[in-house]
Amino acid sequence: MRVALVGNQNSGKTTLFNLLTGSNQKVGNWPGVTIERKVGMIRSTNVELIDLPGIYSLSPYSIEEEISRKFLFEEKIDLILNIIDSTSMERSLYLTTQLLELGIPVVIALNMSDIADKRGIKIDLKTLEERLDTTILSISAAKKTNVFNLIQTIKQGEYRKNNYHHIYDHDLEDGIRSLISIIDSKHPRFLAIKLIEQDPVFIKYQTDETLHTIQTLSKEYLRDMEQVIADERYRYIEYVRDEAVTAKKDQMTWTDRLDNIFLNRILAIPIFIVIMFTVYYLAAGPFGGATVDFVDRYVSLFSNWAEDALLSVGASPWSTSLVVDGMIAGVGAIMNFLPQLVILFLLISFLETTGYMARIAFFLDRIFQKVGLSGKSLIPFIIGSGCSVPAILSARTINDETEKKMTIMLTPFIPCSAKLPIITLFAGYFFKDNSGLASASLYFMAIAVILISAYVMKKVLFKGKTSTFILELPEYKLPSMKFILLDVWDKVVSFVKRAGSVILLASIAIWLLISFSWTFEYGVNPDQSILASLGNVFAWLFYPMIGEWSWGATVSAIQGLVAKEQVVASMAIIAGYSDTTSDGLLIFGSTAFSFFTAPAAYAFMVFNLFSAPCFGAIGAMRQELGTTKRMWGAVLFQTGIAWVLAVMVFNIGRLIEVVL
Amino acid sequence: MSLADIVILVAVVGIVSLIIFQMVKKKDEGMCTNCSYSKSCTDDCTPKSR
Repeated sequence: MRVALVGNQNSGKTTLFNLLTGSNQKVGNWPGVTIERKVGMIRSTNVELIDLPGIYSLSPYSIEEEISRKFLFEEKIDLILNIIDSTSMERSLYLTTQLLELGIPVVIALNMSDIADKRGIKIDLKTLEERLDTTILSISAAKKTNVFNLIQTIKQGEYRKNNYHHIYDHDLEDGIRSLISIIDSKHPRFLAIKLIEQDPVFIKYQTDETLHTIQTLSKEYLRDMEQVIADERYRYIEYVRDEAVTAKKDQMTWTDRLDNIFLNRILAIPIFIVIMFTVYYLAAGPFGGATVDFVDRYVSLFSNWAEDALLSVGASPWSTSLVVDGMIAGVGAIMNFLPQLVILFLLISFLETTGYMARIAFFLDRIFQKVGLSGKSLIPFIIGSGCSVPAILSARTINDETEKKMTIMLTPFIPCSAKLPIITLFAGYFFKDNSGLASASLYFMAIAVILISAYVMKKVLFKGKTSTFILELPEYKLPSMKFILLDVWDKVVSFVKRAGSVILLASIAIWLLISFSWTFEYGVNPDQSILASLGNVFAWLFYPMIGEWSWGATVSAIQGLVAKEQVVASMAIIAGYSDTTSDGLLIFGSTAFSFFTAPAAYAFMVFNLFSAPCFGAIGAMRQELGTTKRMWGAVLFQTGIAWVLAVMVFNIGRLIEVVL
Repeated sequence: MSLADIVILVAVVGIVSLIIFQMVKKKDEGMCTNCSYSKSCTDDCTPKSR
């Protein structure tokens, strides 16, 4: 048995999906979390549940609606589980009436019933069931109320089979009936209505006979038939609402009160700046920095123990070095930053689930529109703070091709979690007590670069109008600790997996290249190694931004293409091969990287932040941009911007140093 | 080359092979919009029937 889970955006679909299937799909308190296909089995049943993207109607106004409609119309579905937000039932019923027209049995889950109760919204379930001729269950997915009954209803097949109620006036119903009698489809009523609406996707089903019926109808109404159907639908929904719902009026909710502060015309942006600054200050500032030293101590202890143990069992210096200076040094350098990433993941996840992220999209929409992006671009940017790959994929929900391309090209500018080790390493060492400020400044610099780049791109490359963005502001919610912890756990697992796979491989490769010369002689001076000669080929590119001919910094930055964390891992391996000249962090105490000054450090961070993302993200750009040529365009654009900015930052910083 | 070296070398080669195998084995799960909710997708981006 196949069940499709359908509902408005932010109605709690993904929460219910996770609850029913026991999976752990991403939940967020902003619209459009469901992007990729999600399928699972309802617990202890053989029922397949498909979580469709959040939609408001089955009209093709967005990609999500196109996907859902196509799926429901073409695939074999036994039941539609329509989840409705009890606090905004009237809006949800528009979609429900369309779903009922498909002729597939529909079970309605009235979600957030607890919140509706608190607000004094009373829903007469019996009347609603009668009017829609559908089985309706009042649930709270977040509090797991009545979900067991929902599962039983689906499992036992104890639901109404929907004898469709007429919702249009007599003339329209007659027209629909006559069309149903002449068309051949699994969903005749739905198709008949789409034909009357002149929906372009269904034009292929139009025949001379259907056209004649529709023209007769059009002559009677003398209006756009799509509008006529929408008006009739709304009329019916108002009738159902009046019969089944009673609500207290003009109640000031907590969400209204909080929005008065967070969406205040004057306060909104300063509050946003303070919140994001706090997030980065806590994660990358002195507090997060202290956790790095803590883990570093244990990694060093493990490294020393491994070295002693290997030498004591008779391992040669080269094999000991491969394990200690290559594998442990590379992976350990990344693992040092895990506690900081946990702090960042926790804070971002908290902001997402409270509903604040949707507010950011709302008030940034106006600014975004001015530069040619829409508020919808903000969703990939938010996801991008975790990883650029899903962020780039999520841009596919943007309808306008120009905005989509711009968003894909600009999303990698957001500091993803893999860039955090680079930022923390440099900011922590060179900016000490101001490390939080230095880290946060990069985040705001990223936003500024995105806005300026978008403005220039819109003026030069992609001329045209900016599309409008309809965003539903969700209720503020106290986040569920379980969801936050699961979300953070997922990200931590993915980070550790990367450290144990891509980073480990790259670290071994770097060890090989730095340990051997071109004549395969082991233990050569690092300056005579294969790695040094490769780095020297490109070092001229980095000279203007760090003020030093450094093959070490060059090869480390280039390895950001494998994974951004690898920049730090590579620096740790190269530093391990150089003479340690001072205490403190091994990397900047080594001769290989002791030349770094504060301006060079900041410029190097800027380059790594804005240059082309890792291969994974480049692959995602290739997939979403459609052609390899466009992908190369994006890579060159990003790296070009990064280089220019880094050189500017370095020279301005040096100038300030001289003046001070 | 000592026995310990050989053991280390075999272990490292094994780990590297395993990682590469896992990376190669992992299928490309990316799908075009057209196929987003289909079981599988053809090369010309049309949903394969179930």
